[in-house]
Amino acid sequence: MKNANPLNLKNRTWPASPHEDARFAGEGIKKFLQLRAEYEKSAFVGEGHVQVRRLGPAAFVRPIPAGESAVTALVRYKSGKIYGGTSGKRAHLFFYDPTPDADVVVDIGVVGENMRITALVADERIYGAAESGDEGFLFSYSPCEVLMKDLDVAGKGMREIFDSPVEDQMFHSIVDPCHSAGKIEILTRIPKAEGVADLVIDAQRKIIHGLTSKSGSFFSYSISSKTFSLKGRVDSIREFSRKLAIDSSGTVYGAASCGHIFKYSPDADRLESTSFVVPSLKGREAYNRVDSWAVDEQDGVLYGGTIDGILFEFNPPAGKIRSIGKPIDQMRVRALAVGNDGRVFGVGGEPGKCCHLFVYEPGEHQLRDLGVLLATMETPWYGYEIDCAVTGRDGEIYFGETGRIGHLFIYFPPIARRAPAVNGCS
Amino acid sequence: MKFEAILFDHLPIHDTCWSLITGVDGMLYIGVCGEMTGGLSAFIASYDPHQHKVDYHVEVADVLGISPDSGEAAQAKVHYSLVTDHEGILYGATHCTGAPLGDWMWRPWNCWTHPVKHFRASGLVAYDPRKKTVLFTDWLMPHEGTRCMAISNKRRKLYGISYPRNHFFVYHLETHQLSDLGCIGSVNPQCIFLDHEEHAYTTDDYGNIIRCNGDRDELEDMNVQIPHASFRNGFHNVPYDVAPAPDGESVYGVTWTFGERLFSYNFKKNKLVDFGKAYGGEVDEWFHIINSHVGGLVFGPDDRLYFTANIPAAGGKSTPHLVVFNPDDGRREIIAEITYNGKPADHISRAAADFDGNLYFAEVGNRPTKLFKYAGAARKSGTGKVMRCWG
Repeated sequence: MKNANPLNLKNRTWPASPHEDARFAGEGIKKFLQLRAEYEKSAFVGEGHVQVRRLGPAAFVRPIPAGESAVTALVRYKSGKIYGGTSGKRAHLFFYDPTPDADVVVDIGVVGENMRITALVADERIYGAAESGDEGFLFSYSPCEVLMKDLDVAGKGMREIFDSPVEDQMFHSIVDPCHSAGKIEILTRIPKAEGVADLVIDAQRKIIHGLTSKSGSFFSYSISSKTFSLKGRVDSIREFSRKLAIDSSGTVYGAASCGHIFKYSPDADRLESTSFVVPSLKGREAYNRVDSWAVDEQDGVLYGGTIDGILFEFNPPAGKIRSIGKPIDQMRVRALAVGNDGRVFGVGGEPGKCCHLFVYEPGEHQLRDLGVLLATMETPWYGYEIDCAVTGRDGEIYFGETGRIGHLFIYFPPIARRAPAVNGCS
Repeated sequence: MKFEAILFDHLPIHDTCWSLITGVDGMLYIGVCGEMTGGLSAFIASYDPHQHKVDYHVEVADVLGISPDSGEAAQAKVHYSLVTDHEGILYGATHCTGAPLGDWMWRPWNCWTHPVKHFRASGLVAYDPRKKTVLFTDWLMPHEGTRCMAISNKRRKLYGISYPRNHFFVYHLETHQLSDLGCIGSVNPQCIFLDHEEHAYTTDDYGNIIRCNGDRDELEDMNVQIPHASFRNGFHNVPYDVAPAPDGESVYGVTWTFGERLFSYNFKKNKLVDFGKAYGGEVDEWFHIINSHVGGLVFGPDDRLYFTANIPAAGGKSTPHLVVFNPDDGRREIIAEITYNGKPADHISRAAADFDGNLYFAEVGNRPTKLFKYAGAARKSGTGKVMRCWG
């Protein structure tokens, strides 16, 4: 408690406002107005194009409610549809159909209550991990494409047969809007009261690999035999990164304490330490974590982002790991995706602050902060909190927004202009 | 002369009065702000209707410990975030838009993580005007301002909305703990209002009413949307100003610009009545929000609703006019254009009434910034004071 200082206002010298500042005198005020207009736009993504989708077809129904719509996992299905999982009072599974006659999110259903969907992977089906308190499980989602294979039309009425969906879809370019979605099933519960931090899938071997949340136990789940097996802890002191990556050979990578990379080799069926260490800020090695991974499927390079906000490149066949840099002045790289042209897009930033989109262009060795995500379609919205990403079939990048009200952000990177024709010939 | 101007001329550079409330002592309390010039502090000032005297009580940045030359974004604004409790203690929370000293523009997104120019947080000041004592200060949402605020006296809570992330928060006055209830949209509503049980109300981006249940501190959808012009889809149609009605079970409000609608909301029945365009015909242009602006809602001693509407004048500029609305028959009439020294005011943010039934309107956008006093509302016998618990 203190007395307010006596306010002696009469003898104050007050600062000048811009229109009274000599620098902006006369016509100079126009310069000020121009600078201000540029300044106001400069914080936001200004190259490419940004859109958002609510988590539901807003023309017909309400989206997934606030408090249930934080998008915490995304995966691309072979059809090009994007499947997503949410976290909150209820965890939903949804899909987004990017085709122009759909272009909306459909809420497939609720996976569980007071739950977080931590990861999604896909082959013929969608597989996911969910955790709630000290419990976790793996689930599968069979889209209509899969269910159609087992559809028995015998004994069904005409309308029933005609209405049978051949795929998950949203269709509203006709008089009767309709949508279809498949079936969610629990595959297995995680033993020893643990959740699941992350999943990757070895589509060739039909095996899902994962990491438990508390003890950091590496596990595998065979899709064909439906068996779950623990492979051991990735770190003896349980200091590990919650994210995994898998390369085209089926080798899984993750980070143990201090950012030491481990690997799981499927042929050897063994967890191994490696000599690779994820780059960190000096003195923060003990806190080092990999926040996100993305794989360039073209050349097999893995990109990772750390809790320090450092982007790095890990090339296992070449035996190299290198720091690319720190794209923004915040901690965390919360989401990463490699675009169709090899550029790496990511979102960094700390919870409660203001995330930025960044890009790494390997050809130019250029790392750039692109700014805050802001969209006006389908509704004006800022992307302050982003926690997952995936690349769409046509090279667009999807970002999952977390917080009380989550949206699906879609970033369309700019298309580079082709080089001018030489001597007028193309 | 319909209006008497009350000038804050000891603050010659300050340019806006966003908050104006009536204290339990019958004084008018005002947040005097300086937005267009970097490095200013907001002030809490008062006007004594009987002594016709302006006093400057609190230099907000100073009591928050932010020196003008700190280089930080200025604590220059108390937006719709000045409230009083039943004991007469004032609570004011700062908003961000003012640049650091020497800078001529500032935006939160540009400076969120700037090591010097960032906005530290919304500063809360609790001030006892009788003892002229600052009881405590605190920091609310980090890096964000408070756009609007309400006080629950019986629950001893402040309800607020942050800018720019638009989070609804609850501040517990006894424990000084803040609960962030999360994002409610991308556009700040300009008002939180309370019902008789002191649950708090505001809207999402599309004007859908959200209630913060005061018992549980949870946000609930009320399945009611405040009205919007037929040519709009509801986006950005958030409440601009809301006044408590004398009936004790409803409020009257107006939406934020561009075809602004006047409505009443009965919180006991969860029922909304649309009174259509607040005043006049629809305006086709949307050049600037103050060309289509309604604010300064207050019930007069005659139980009629007074508000100001910017109405297009010759030359294209819209100027504020005082309008009175009769809730019994829905009729509106213009009382007068609001002018000072023959020049029209810019626009009006908030209004309040003193205990004698005089009405006051806070101006935004001119220097020196000022209130306009209107003494022409007739007193109706038996009319009681309606205290407003929000900014």
